[in-house]
This record gives sequence, C-alpha cells and structure tokens, in this order.
Amino acid sequence: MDLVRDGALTEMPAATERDLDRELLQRFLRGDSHAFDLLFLRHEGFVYNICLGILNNPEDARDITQDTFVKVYRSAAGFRGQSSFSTWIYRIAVNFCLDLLRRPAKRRAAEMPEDWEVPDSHAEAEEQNQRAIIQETLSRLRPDYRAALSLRYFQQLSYEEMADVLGMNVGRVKILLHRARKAFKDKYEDGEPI
Amino acid sequence: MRCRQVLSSLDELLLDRLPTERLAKLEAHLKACVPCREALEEQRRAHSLLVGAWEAREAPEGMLRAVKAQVEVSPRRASLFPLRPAYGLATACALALVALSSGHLGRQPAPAPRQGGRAPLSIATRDHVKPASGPETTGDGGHEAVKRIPSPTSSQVASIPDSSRELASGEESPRVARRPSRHVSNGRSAAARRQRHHHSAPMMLASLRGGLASAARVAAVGSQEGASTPRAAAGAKPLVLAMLPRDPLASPSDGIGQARVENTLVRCVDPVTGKVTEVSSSRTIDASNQVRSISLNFSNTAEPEGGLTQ
Repeated sequence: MDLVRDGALTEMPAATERDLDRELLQRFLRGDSHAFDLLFLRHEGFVYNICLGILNNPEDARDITQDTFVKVYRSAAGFRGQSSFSTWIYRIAVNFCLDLLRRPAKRRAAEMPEDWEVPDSHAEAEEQNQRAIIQETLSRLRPDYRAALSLRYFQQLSYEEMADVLGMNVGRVKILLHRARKAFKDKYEDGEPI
Repeated sequence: MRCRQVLSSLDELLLDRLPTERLAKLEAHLKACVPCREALEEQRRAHSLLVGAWEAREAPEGMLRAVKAQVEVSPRRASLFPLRPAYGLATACALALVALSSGHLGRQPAPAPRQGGRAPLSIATRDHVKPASGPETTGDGGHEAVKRIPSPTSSQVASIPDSSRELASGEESPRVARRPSRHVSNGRSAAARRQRHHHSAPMMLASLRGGLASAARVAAVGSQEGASTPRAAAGAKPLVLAMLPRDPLASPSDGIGQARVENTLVRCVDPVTGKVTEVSSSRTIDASNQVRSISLNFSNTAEPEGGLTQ
C-alpha cells in the first residue's frame, strides 16, 4: 500500500511530526512495511548527519545509519513512546557511534568527503581550510564530547532532548557541553596542523 | 549567584536564551569574578568556531535497500518475542529450552559460576533428540537459529560429556537428573501428550504468551520467597532447571511431507516453595531437516514428589 499515493497520510489526523511518526510506527507494527520506508525516509538524513558529526567518516556514518534502522526495524515493538520516536532513533544511533569509537581497531581514518570541490576563491579556500581544521580538532575529542557538540551545534537539540538521547539528566548535559567546548578550544589552539 | 550556577548558564548566555532577570544577575557576577569571565571568553571562542562547523550532507543512496536486505535475512524479532525483561526467568527458561532442544547449548563451554549472590540456574540434559541426517550451518543470531535449527547427529549428542552439559554451577541435583521419564509425563497418556503438542500456529503463539506469563508468576513467587528465606541467604539454589527426555512422536498430519516432531521437556523446580513448572517444546522438522515450527507449552504441576528438591 502506498501511503502517500493513496492519500492515507494526508487523511491521517496526525497533526504533528511526533504524531506522524507514531502513526507510521503503528502501521508498521500492524504489518505495513511501507510505513517503515516512510519512517526511514523521514529520519535518514538526520541520523546520517548525526553519525557523520560524531564519527567524521562517511563510510562509518553510512554503516551506523544502516545498523540504526535495522535495530529500529527489529525493536520497533519495544518502543514504549516515553520519548519521541526521533529521540529514540538518535539514541540508538549515538550509542552505536560511541560503541564504534570505543573500538579503536575498527575505526577508519577520517576521509575527505566525496563531494569535496576545488575552491573557487581564496576566501572559499580559507573557509574550507578552517572547516577542515575544526573537523580535525573535533575528531581528536572524546567520543561523548563529540556527540554532545554534534547534537547541540548541528542538530540543535534542546537540553531535554540531548538528555534523552545521551541518557543523562539536564544538569549533566550542561556540564558535558561546557567541558566539551573547553576541550575543543584547548585542542584547537594548541593542535598540530593537519 | 554562585560560580557554579554561572558556569551552568553559559550555554544559554551564548545562545541568548537567558531570561532578563537571570541575565542581570549573571552579568553582575561576571563583573566581579575574573575566573568566570575567563571561562565565558573561552566558551564564547569555542562557540563561535563550532557554530556552522557542521553542514548538512545528503545521505548516501541505497541505504534503505541495504537495511531491507539485512532485515529480510533475519526478520523482526518483536513479533515472536514481545516480552519485557520482567519476564526474565520465563524467557530464559524458554530460550534455554529452544537452544537445548536444538543442541546448541550442549556444545557450548560451561560458563564460570557467578561469585556471591544467588546461584545461577543449573541445567542438565539427557539425550532426547531424534537423530537427523546431519548438522546444517546456520547464520549467526538467535532468531536465525529458531528459524533454521540444525539437529545434532547422534554421534554429536553422544560425544558431549555429561559434565559439559551442566551449564552453570554444576550442582544440579542428581536425583532430578536420574528421575525416570514416567515421572515427567505425570501420568498423561501418549494420546493426551500428542494432543497437547499438536498446535496450529496461532495456538502456538498464544500458548507461548500464556505459558510465559504463568511461568513468570511461578518464577516471581520463587524469587521473592527465595530471596527472603534463610536458605536463599545462605546461598541455596533458588531453582533447579532440569531437562528430561521425551519420546519423539510421529506426526503424519503436518502436511509438509516427511515431517517429524521432536519433543523436549524442561522441568523447573523451586526448592524453597516446592513448586514445579514444566515447559515443553515441540519442534516440527520437515523432510529437508528444516525446523518448520516450534511450540512451547507451560504447565504448573502439583507439588513435586519426594526427592525432587535438593
């Protein structure tokens, strides 16, 4: 059944993103595998970018994104709805990323992005260089610092959402962010050139 | 305002999200406190670098296909085991039975006993599996094993030393292991047993759910009482899980060719309360030696006859 084509999605009473996720999840659990496809399409970009932000490697990010959705597929019935569906997915993704980063032997070196382009101007080259230095500095941070900074600065999650994803209370999130920024600044200033 | 409160508010300050009243207090503190001012500058510098450090990238194509391919290899577990950890013992019991009936656990090395606290379950097995044509290779993961479980050959079963089949502390009661099979059936006739093991697929699932719930209740009683008694406190085993033999039953009406049914019985005995729970499994195996279905059936029996408890 094509939920989009047959208008089922537009007919749904779900008014919010959260309700939409919940509805899709319910449909999936009732056996509608296309609902899972829609859940995937709704969240793959965010999950991939979270993974990329933490892992700084497109290959690893792709693998972990896939693992995350496989886990979602298999564990969907266990989702109790205490947090939003997106927070639940992010938590799975972040945990997979942190697990990977704790296994140094399995990690791939940071790679140049596939869409790397030769800069047109000096200013653009400067900007690209600066971004590369920042990414390299981030890659030298502790995994939990990197996860916190990625969730805050890239995903722009609130403290409460971060607390849900990282499995800690809001106070600890604030401390983690504070220390992560301090560590980042220290490493950035005395970091070796890449 | 204290330094600690200031430091925890810096993030909101950097993002201009502080309410006016708190902002005024914070600024007053910063004027007077050099370390907090330095910390703010440090955070501000890092913040300015980090804002815009990430740019959204397109997710690579083909991920959905890859995910679908993975889940099709071993499908969703949830439909078979929608159970919470609260059913721990019952689930463990059922899984142990499934694994034992497939011959998997019997080939594992015995794990080390836990130090202190309650003793782990003790599992003893006897030969019970009807010899099959030969073992098959399965994928990894428990669910895959449930879908396609290889049966050990008779020589493999015979080659497992008795001591290695005791999976936990190795203190399984010999009286339990030596019980003759007539006690296992509790006087049921062969026809009654056949009837009991003949389930349709929905009945199997219903049986699994209902049975797990009833076993969980028995387990919960055993756990609570076991934890509060002097015996348990002194390290007595709260439960003995013993696997006893059953005769394979012919199954001519399965409609899948040369199908046969293998039955296994696990008897859980709480030595403190004396309650007994039987968990029986029935596997239907088709002509190509693939497991077509597994049913689990739980039943609470009467008080054990003398000698079952330790």
